[in-house]
Amino acid sequence: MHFLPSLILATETGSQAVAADPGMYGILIPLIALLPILGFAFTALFGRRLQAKLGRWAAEIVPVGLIIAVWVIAMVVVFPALGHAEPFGEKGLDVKLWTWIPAGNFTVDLGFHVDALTAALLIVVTTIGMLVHIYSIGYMAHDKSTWRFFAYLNLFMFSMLILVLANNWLLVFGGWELVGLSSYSLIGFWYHKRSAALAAKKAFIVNRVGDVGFALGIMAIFVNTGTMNIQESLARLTEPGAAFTIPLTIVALLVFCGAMGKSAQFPLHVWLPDAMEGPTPVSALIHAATMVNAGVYLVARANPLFASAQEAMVVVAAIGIFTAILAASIAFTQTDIKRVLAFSTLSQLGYMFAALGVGAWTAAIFHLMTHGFFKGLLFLGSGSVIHAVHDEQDMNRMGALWRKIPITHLTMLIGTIAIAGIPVFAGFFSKDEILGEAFKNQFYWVWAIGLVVAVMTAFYMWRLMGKTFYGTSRVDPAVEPKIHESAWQMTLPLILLAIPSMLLGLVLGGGTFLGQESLIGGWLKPVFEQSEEIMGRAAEPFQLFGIDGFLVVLSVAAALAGLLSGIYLFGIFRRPVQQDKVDAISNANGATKFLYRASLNKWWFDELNDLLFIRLGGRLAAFLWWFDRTIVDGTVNAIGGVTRDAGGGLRRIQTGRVQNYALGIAIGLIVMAGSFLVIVGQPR
Amino acid sequence: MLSILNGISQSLDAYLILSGVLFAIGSFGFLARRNAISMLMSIELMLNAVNLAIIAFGAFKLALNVDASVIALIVMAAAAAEATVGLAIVIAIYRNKKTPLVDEYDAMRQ
Repeated sequence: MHFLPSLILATETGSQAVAADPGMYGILIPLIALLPILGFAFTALFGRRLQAKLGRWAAEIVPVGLIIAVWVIAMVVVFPALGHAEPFGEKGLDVKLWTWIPAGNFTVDLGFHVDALTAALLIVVTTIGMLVHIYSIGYMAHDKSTWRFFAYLNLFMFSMLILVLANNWLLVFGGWELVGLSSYSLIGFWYHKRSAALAAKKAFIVNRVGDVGFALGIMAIFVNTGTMNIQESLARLTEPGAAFTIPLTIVALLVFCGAMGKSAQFPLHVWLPDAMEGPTPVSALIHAATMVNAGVYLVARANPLFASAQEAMVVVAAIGIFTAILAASIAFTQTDIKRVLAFSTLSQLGYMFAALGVGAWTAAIFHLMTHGFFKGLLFLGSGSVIHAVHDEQDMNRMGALWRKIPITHLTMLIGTIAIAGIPVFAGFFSKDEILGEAFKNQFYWVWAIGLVVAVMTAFYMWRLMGKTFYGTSRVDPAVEPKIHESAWQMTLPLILLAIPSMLLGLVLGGGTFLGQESLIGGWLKPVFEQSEEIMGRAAEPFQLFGIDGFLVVLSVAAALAGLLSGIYLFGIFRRPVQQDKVDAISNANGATKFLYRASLNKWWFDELNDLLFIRLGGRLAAFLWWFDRTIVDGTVNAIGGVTRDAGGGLRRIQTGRVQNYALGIAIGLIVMAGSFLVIVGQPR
Repeated sequence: MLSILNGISQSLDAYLILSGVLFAIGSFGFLARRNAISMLMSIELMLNAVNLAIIAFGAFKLALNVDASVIALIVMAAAAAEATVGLAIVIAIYRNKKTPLVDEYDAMRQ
């Protein structure tokens, strides 16, 4: 970047100018991204033949083995990065591979940047990615094209890791599009099912809407700063007193637009529930724990930009908390077990955006991590349930499964308690931090709605548990005797995910309650320090017996209220479902009936989109087509027609006979000679 | 009066009239005859008519004498070359079409 004024670089990013020697990390970090793409190439090229000749294991061993290797390497990289050890330092480590696009002033490096934020994401992506790979061995054991599934999974891991590791916006965008592509392939994995193919298309198209905004945002960043490097551009965007061609609020909103698409925030949330058509491990990995977090990561990564554009942050908070309550209300009445979890994911992502919007950056990433683990667990658990009852996803045809599939039941119970926000489990710490920060940053409306959502979350999650595991069995009598616990490849990841779902919150955020800096707060402090300074938020000490303690008690009370009303209605262990009361609610009249129907029909958003884009948009398109056909094409065709007809008329005089031409020459000659004589013969 | 005109008409008009008549016959032949060979012959006739007019001018106007002779020679050379090429083309077409009649040569029209 020697074209740029070196003064700015020297002063602003002085510590980066003397970049630390990456040492062995210079090899390990690129390897994290390289191994999955190798696995994809290998499995895509040879997987089918290996599976046909040697059996299923041959196609699975390479992709799964490589992802385990990636996890090991990632763990080696992650811990020094989180602890700000050399060579990472507080600013993070840049590993430049080569100059990707050298074009005058526009220079893009192919390089990676690893700091604490990247490392936090790496933990979630590689750990859950690895467990999902192992789980898939069991889950896909009856599928014909296992090799294709694992090839796509490896492609997804590659894309996601590129997205997280990239040190410039263009590479982030590349990973961003690649996760979209692999998500499309995996949602439509059973492409012979029409609904799956349509859901894949829907996800792809809705994501594209957001991606346009993100692409424009990246261009706007380049116009404003003249660089594609994330760290440099953010440093320049936050220079005091700098003037920009494009206002920062617009830039921030454009970037957020991309985040809305990928993280399925209102109004682009419609694709995520449909994406549940994909195999369950995909739902767990992509549509719960990793890809949908990309938007949260993006906003967190661009935190100085958002901190400098306060109006955009209010929009982020509003969209986030609105999505949270909207999705939670829909989750109340869905009967497909995976769809309930999908709406729950939407709701929790809304929480994260609300956290980002109120300036609780660390809390958002904290919730991202805990949510990744417990939602991954819940999805994999639901997959195990679906597997046990022979591909039945409707909760009305489950029930009383808790003694038949005990490991699944126990791990899902842990996940449910974690997401509900009962103390000591993971979700409590992160959710409480979000609500507390919202309150303390004077976003009282976010806090109040968030508290309501907490009640709702606990309630619909217990509804899921009750309908699935407790009460009386409504399983198909033909399937009933065949219900069995899943294979070890499936239960092992469940157990391994249940541990962080219980403990991760305590480990990462427990320090706050002892009046110290929490572990995750210490990790992420350098990333968000500058933004908190810009926003003028002074860190207040935690008061367990003051305002903070009061907020904690409130949020625990909210979670318990939701959970206990869920238990009252839907039962626990031997306590039966209060079916008459449930029916009374669903058959009630007046406002309740309206709310029930609205929730059941997902607030008619699919219908609204159908009306707006299929019908009205279709009308507009039909009109434009008519305009194009008659006016535009008409003009062009008329010009062509006139020329053709004129030619058709004039070609009659072309007889092709040499004597006609000669006659023409003769007559011409006579006319010319005659007129010459007439003119010259005139008296002067 | 020039000595070369001894014993023949002393009038320029007579030569020009003859030249004009020859040219008219040539043009009529070219336009009216359907046979390619006859048309080539008509062209020769027209060329010779022109040549005759040029020579006549040269004989009656002393200043044009040399110029007229040179031009006449050049026209003869051109006429000879034209006849050669024209005949070659006509024969080539004849081999394809098996007819000397130019009405049949209507490939240009299609």
